[in-house]
Amino acid sequence: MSSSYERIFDIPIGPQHPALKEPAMLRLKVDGEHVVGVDLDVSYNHRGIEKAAEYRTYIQNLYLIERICGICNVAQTLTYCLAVESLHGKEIPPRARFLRIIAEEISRINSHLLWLGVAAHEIGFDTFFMHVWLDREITLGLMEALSGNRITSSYNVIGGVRRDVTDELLARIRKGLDELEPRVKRYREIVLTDRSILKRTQGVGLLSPADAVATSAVGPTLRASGIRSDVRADDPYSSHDQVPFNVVASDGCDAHARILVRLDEILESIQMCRYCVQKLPSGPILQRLLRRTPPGEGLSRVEAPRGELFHYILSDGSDKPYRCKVSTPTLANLPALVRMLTSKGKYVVNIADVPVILASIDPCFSCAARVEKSGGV
Amino acid sequence: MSVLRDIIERRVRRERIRRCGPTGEGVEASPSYRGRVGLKRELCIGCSLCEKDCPSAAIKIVQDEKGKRPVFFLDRCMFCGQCKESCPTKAIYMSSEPELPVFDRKELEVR
Amino acid sequence: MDTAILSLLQTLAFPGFLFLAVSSFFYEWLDRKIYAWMQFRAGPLSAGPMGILQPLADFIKLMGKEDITPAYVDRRIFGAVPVLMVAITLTFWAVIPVTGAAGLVSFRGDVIFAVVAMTFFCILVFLGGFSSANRFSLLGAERATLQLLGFEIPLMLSVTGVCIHTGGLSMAEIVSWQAENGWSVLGPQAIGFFIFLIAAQAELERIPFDIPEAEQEIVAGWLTEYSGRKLALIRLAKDMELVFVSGLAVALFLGGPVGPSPSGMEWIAYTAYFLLKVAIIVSILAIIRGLFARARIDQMVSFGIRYLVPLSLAQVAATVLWRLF
Repeated sequence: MSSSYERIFDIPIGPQHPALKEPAMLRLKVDGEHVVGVDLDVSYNHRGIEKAAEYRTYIQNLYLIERICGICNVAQTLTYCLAVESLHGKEIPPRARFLRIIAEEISRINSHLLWLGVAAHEIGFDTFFMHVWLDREITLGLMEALSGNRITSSYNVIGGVRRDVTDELLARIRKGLDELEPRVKRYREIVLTDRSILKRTQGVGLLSPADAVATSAVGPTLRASGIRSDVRADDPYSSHDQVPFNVVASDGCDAHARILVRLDEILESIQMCRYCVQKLPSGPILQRLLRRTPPGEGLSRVEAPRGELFHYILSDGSDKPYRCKVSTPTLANLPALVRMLTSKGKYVVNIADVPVILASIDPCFSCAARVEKSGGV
Repeated sequence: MSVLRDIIERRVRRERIRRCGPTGEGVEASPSYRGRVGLKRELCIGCSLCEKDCPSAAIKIVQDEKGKRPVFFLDRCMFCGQCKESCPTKAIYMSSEPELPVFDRKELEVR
Repeated sequence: MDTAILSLLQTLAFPGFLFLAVSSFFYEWLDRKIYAWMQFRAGPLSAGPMGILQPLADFIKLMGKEDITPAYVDRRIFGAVPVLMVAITLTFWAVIPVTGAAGLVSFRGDVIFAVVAMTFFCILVFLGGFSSANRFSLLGAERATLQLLGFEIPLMLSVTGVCIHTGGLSMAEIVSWQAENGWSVLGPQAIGFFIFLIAAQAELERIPFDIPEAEQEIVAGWLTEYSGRKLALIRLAKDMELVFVSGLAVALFLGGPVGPSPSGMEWIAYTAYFLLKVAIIVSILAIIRGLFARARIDQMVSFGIRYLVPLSLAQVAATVLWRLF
């Protein structure tokens, strides 16, 4: 080691690091245990999906888009299908719309429970992590019964949904949700009262409402800073205007508030699923659409578990898209992440807080790898 | 400390926790699982829509004595089920076999 | 000549090095099984019946792996640390009573000698982390020394409480006193026992105090650059330390290995009591490990200084008063 003494040195979190589920580079500038700056690089997962989409037909693209992110695959396919359907301009049958909501909300519950386990793991609470993932098996079983696979569901197709539900399956969904609800309420209680969780997450990763809006945060990251913005309420798609629900927001502005927002969202999703199961209209589940899509621009946005997801499709009239552009919620949350990771004045970020803050925005770097390099904000 | 209550409650209630063997024995897939692809030859009319729609180019159309028919290469297949949806005569089906590990790649061709 | 061979055998095999190594594997297995049970998992399953050979399998596997020493490390310290860890634990093990009221070696003040082992361990952790030319190791080493600030004083004070309570400064005296007057954990030493266990959890670097090797923050902390044989020795030293600290807790608070036994078979009965009591302590430590999230280093030190130190001072004062009346 050289003899010159540097006060601030770099700690690289990534590209491979036990705190990260996907490769990303967070180069932290550290002074003792305090983080004073961060350099973010998320280009490691760039797979060229948007370019690959131009060489495949719309039907084949469904599966490519589904694999942008494993855990938000229902949201990705839903957004894509909505964008293509808006190009065709045809109505989707009501039964299909309700079934889409059921799949979307079950996948939201799944994603939030996965996130809760991962967040517990990041603070070193492996027991809680294992318990939450054991309960997640309920939703994974429901997803498998509904669509054929636990994670990659391939449930949404262009024009509707793929499989119909029997009464037996609806009863099973109802039973699964009834089993899950007291567990989630119990986890909410634990998160509110367990001292070791409170000590690690309260006051950590502060994002004031002004900062949240300035850095264009989305999803639970935004709602935990008090701003009630949810695409399902602001711009309803796929019959969300017919299914009553509450937009969950909290004024905590820290990681603890984000945990609570996501837990409350799980409870809201359970209610929405119950409503849809009860009020499911009869009818066809698929509106057959032509393979050749009429030319035009299709734009759709959906509330994915992590936030607002955009798809833009430019069609030239053939059966392959001319341009397909995806804007994911994690990408929108990255400037907020950089803001949260910088110590400023009385707000001090320890190295031990970095995995907690990173986990609290629910990062999905596979989704977010759309740019070459994201500098500090 | 709060998880202590959970542990005691669940253990006292003897909640059945599903266990499988060390190499996956005892795992049952539900009947709706998208498993191994199969073909009902008598229903196939050789339209080649499955080959056109397959996202991973895992289907090849070959000639046999009755006409054109698909061959599925399961090492490329991603088990999405699009072939089953595209088939106009419902000749393609997916069984609910969950585990498909083989030692010889030839076993992964469904002819 | 006979006594020399007997002493050698005792030191090397039973209750010395080999006994410590084998029991450390057993207690690591027990710890992992209890931790897994709390998480509705199975723990080690396939190596041996109920997975009991898993720690041995891990050790053998690590011994066979490639041992990479990075280019810029301080070679002598880096290489010496794992060996010293094992050697120190083996040396200090000599004072823990296993087959009777006295350990292999007994002298006045050997309680202090045993407690010093724990400080030595932390110093070695620091040297190991500091000599690896790696930022994560440096952070882990720095955190280990900070953690020492938090738990050292309560640990010493709880041991002091026991010494005052039993009126002895050597393990043999403490254990014999407890054999006549009842276990020291019943009485004002209950608090001391609780403090000792928390401080032991911090010293052994287990959740909630595994801050020096926090996986999610600093990869593996001070252990990051160790691989192969060195890592095998470090893990062995950690397991042996678990048994060492539990043995110390048994001797100080749970009356040591003595108990009713048929005459002539004392050493078997006492060893059985020892193993049973150590299993109780290891189970408690494993349960604590499963119940909490990891503390942050500043929270840990402030917890130690703000709560544990006054509590242990109060406990010492209570013991003094109890002793006077």
